[in-house]
Amino acid sequence: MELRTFGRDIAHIDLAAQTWEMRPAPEEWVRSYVGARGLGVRYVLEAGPEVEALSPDNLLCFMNGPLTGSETSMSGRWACVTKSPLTGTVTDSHQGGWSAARLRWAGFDGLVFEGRAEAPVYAFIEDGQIELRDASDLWGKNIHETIRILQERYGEKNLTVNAIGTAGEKLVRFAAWLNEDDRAFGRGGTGAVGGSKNLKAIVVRAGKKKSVVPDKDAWKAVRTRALDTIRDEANITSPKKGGLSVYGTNVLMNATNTIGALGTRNSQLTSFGDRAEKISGEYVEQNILVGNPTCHACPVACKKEVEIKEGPWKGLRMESVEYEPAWSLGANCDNDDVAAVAKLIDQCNDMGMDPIELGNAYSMWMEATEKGWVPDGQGLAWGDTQAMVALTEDVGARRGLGKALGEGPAKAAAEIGHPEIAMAVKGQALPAYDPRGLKGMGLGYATSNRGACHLRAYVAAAELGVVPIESDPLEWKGKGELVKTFQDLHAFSDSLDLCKFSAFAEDADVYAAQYATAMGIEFGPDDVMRTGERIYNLERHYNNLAGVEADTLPARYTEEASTEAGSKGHVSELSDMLAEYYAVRGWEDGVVPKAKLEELEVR
Amino acid sequence: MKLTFYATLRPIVGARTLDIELRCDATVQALIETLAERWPALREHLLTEEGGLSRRVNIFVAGRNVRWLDGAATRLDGQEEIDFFPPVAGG
Repeated sequence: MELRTFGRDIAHIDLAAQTWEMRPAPEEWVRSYVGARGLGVRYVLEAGPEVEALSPDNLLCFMNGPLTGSETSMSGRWACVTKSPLTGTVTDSHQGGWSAARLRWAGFDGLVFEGRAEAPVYAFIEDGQIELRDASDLWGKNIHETIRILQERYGEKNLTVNAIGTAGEKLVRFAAWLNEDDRAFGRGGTGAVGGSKNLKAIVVRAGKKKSVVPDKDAWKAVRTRALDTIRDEANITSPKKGGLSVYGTNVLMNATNTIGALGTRNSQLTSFGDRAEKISGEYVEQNILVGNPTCHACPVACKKEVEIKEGPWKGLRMESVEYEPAWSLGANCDNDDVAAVAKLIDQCNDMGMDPIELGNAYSMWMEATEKGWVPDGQGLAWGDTQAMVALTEDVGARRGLGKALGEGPAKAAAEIGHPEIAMAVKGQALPAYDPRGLKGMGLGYATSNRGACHLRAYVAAAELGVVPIESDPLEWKGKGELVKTFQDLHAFSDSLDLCKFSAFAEDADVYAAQYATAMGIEFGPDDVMRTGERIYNLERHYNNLAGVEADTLPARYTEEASTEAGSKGHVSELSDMLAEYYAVRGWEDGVVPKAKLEELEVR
Repeated sequence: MKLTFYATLRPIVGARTLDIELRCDATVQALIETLAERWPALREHLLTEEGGLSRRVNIFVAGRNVRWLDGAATRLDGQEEIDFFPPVAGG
């Protein structure tokens, strides 16, 4: 494989020396790991799995995929890959908007930051050049203000800014990077890694450029085929007709609530009852929706811009009330005030924090408060939105109680002697699908290589009847193979880098055709699955070398039965599912054996 | 029985919930045919061209998708709460 269309232009930026150089990715790495997630993990491995996440030696990679910034539908994405300060695993997080495309148009396939700048800097990128510029005037400012200042400095035309807020600067372990569209590299604490390197922002200025591909006609044909599947009115991606397009991701709230898979009050309950409607996508669409912004090359437009029209946060205009934070800061905190949810998400977007992690920290602390386990004067009552908003400022600034909660719910719960009330796997908090009502999702959380994550496998698509592969959400048998298949498929699509939602319409065959024509290579659906499996095993191998904890779930899900209709009486049969999963993976108790690494050519 | 409609199905029906009466010992099939007759725009969501249960709807009886019960042949006693969703998923 020649690096004709992707992989030649990887910038290595030494923050300590204030220098950079362009070095092509090794061809074998591109062939084996594709780009974005896979290629980023391979780079991060170079720093050694034992590296301290917040040390200068950790690498912080922003990687495009071979389809990023092209005319391919849903290709406006890139991956931030590093060792996580939250989990100790390798982690990758993906961001939409226009930043990824503009980086490609500016002449770069990826950025690899190493070292630590002596004083705060930002990277200014344009026309194949990178400059590290003084960010001392930006340090201490949050993201919205940072972006505004940089837009005033450089103009808004063709400009994109990614920044960390005070949370990243203060090394909150779930700090995030966000761009001007309020799109986040949300999970795993990549923003804290930026803060540890004194890297405040990445500014890219570049206008649109057409893709250079070996065969334009073949390229156009496969792109048209993919777009047709996305537009199909039978699919939830169908523009302005499908549920995802009309209501955004929060179309899920009422569905998981109905089947007893919506964790409530720190997952002590499995449904929010009638109150779920008040924080649902349907409610948002009817009452506060004002816009449907979209990412580069995406006809779906799942983002939902809202404006709060009354109450203490009247006038707040923000995007986007997504399903995950509406759950974590809503139902799981016993909060049905959608305006407060919007306010809390906007705070996270401004200070640069993962709202899934923050919401779980709050729900954990609320349960601890209820049980009398918190120090006097530090309690947080269920659904106390005023207190949540005030506390969020403290978490982002790492002061008072916010300092402890900024370590993430797992560490904060352990600190008060009750690790069992932290709903987390490998130190990362659970997302919005209760494993007692969606059993495959539970196995996906347990075996995710970046800590609890809904997106590694996303078998909810099968368990909720969205894709043709259907699977009873309450049946544990068969989930081992299902989870492996989805994990491998998504490891590949995350490496292209296509939006996860493309998988609601496209399949391995469509992915293969798009990749093959972009790169000018022979590549089929079997190659998609084998490459995805290789990437998944590379990540697991990294974690094995790093000494990451075992695949597990909090005991609440395996021992405390679901309380609500749809899943009532069910627990997660995790040990049975794990045995099945390890058998199909060929792993030995979660460890990739040497023979498997050789079989998959993991190098 | 109480029917609740969600997402893109709700504007078609024009209401969040409906109370309707079916004959005793009816099935999901009878229910969706009744609904398709009353709201013709629902038909393409509920029924295949052959008249079976469409993949464009997920129907939950007491929180269980009828696909994991007896499908369109699932029997109803008239007292259930039934929820109608188009396929939904997200991040």
